[in-house]
Amino acid sequence: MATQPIDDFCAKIKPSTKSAVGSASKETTAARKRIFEAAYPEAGKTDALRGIANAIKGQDLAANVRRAAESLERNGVKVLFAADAMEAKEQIAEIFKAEGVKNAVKVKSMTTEEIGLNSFLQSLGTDIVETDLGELIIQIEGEGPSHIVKPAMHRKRDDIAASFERHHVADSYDDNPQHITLNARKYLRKKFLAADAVITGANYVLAKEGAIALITNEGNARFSMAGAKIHIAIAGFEKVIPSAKELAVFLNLLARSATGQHSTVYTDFVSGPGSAKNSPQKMYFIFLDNGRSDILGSEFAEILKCMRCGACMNRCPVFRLISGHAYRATYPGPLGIVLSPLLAGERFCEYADLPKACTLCGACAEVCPAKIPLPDLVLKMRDLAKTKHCKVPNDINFAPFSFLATRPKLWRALVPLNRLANFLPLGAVKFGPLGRWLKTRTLPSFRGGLFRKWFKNG
Amino acid sequence: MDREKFLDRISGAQKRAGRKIPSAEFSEEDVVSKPAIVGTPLEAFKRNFKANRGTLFESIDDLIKFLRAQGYKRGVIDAKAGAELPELAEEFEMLKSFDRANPDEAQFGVSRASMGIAESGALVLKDCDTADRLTSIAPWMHIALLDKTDIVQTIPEALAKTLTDTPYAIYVCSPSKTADVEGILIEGVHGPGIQACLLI
Ligand code: SF4
Repeated sequence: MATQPIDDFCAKIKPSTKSAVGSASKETTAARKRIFEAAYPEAGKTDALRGIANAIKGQDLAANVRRAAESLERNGVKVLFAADAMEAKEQIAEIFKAEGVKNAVKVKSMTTEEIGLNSFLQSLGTDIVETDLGELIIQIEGEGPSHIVKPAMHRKRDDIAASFERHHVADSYDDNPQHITLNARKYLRKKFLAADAVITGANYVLAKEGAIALITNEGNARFSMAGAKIHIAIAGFEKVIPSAKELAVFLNLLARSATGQHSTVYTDFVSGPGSAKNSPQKMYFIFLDNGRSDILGSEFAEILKCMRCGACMNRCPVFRLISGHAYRATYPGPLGIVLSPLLAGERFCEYADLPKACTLCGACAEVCPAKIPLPDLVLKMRDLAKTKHCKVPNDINFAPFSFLATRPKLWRALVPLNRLANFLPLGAVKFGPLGRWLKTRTLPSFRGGLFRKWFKNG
Repeated sequence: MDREKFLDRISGAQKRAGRKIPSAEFSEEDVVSKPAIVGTPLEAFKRNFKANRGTLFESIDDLIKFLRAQGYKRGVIDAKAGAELPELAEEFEMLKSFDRANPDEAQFGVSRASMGIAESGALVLKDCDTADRLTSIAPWMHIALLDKTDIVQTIPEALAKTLTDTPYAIYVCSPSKTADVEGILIEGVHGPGIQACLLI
């Protein structure tokens, strides 16, 4: 009998990937905590701010999307609506054809990853280059991102250097991180200035002003918008917020949650074709649905409030061990567990093992800046997978566990016996579902105390 | 897809779910980081800009000394800042515009900042005050000319004044940076490795 896809992946993870992902996630989680404490020392203020973010993202989207579209048009932006990934890709291809675009640069956008834009445009013969360093690193190897903020988190400097040499980003092998960055700088400036078009996402769409906010640390958004003549932005409709006023809440939450910085280095506001020399003369904006309206009408609507900060995965004890590619979709970690099966549509069951890759420890919900109740959604997702009768390979029988877990008295009586777990000959279980399950898992030895307590500061 | 159909799907979903729309009222108090704005706006701006690893100059002489020490010979100055710093042209070769075929020709770029934000130590560059976006992003060093009276105290204040008079604006907090290679912080990815501000 087969094992779960997620287990198959885990059996093959390189130790270097594990250590890279584990330590980076832990460091970012710690930096996040420090910076929030420094910015908002008042008790409960950070929490209240997260609550406000949640409420803003819960406003009337139909009305705000309509207003955003009208404001963008007033500012000279051509606005399009795409029901699904294919329609969005075709719209972009049509614009390219009409405008004669041969070379394009892209500013990191998870939405374009979601719709598989790069491979589609390449198949039509367009040269499309990622300009975020992390995205460039994975693009030239044909990989997908392993983290939504740090797409190349799983890679080490020596293999990046070798790959840069192989793909002619650098003239020769050099694994000094500073030189890797400089080589990308040199390589990409030519691309920026030669590009006919730039494709971006939008971190936020401001309905009242008819503008988008783009948030980067490297400056690739501004550079590409000083080079290309056409700007195409695409975003899920849930990225719309009422106005620039509300953006203050998100600017204060996003960078702190994502990387432990108080602000991201660059925040670009674009509300149409630019007036400066060298700026794009035409701008298009595509509102994408791709399953979102179904989600909005379902019990999973809260997941649409996500601002793609990555804090939940950084904090997740499972993500730290298995890394992003284990989730086999654009969005990994707790966010991906909920979102990937929903976005998969008819292929829902392919991702039905994901909600099981969760300990329900609740840590993600504590850090999510949009206060999304992630563990509740994961539970609902498990439930949905059962209701849909998805067949997940190697399902372990949890009946004995649930028998105990629903009888608190019996449970408490048995807790002291947990110590005996240290003497169970688990290593000898080689066959059956449990044997396969144990192949990729090492049980820590029982040490007593409360899990939540020793997990708290990690 | 047709706009109305697209919007119908959204409003239909909202109706189906039947959730109440929560109040999203908040005040500036709720968002602003108090420790970040201690002191006058000018003091807070200077403190936060420097904490972001920005390089701050309070006189043109100090700036010229710095440029000399870097060994710089050639800069580019944005048309809208050109008239204000004639001293630079006495010492350095100052280009008036960008040669796109040669983006590394100028070692530093000078342009005008439209605002400074005390709370985050950020510079606001607007298209209406910048003739060419490349001046601030392509050279290794960028110097923003900031009038002290253009400093606002908080991010909400800045947001209220950002898109009022320009189609494009950018907040710049620090040198361009990345941590994409093993989480190591490197400055100067696509934008400047040195982000400076000259207060006037
Ligand atoms: S679910 Fe929350 S914590 Fe996770 S990426 Fe989205 S906003 Fe960040």
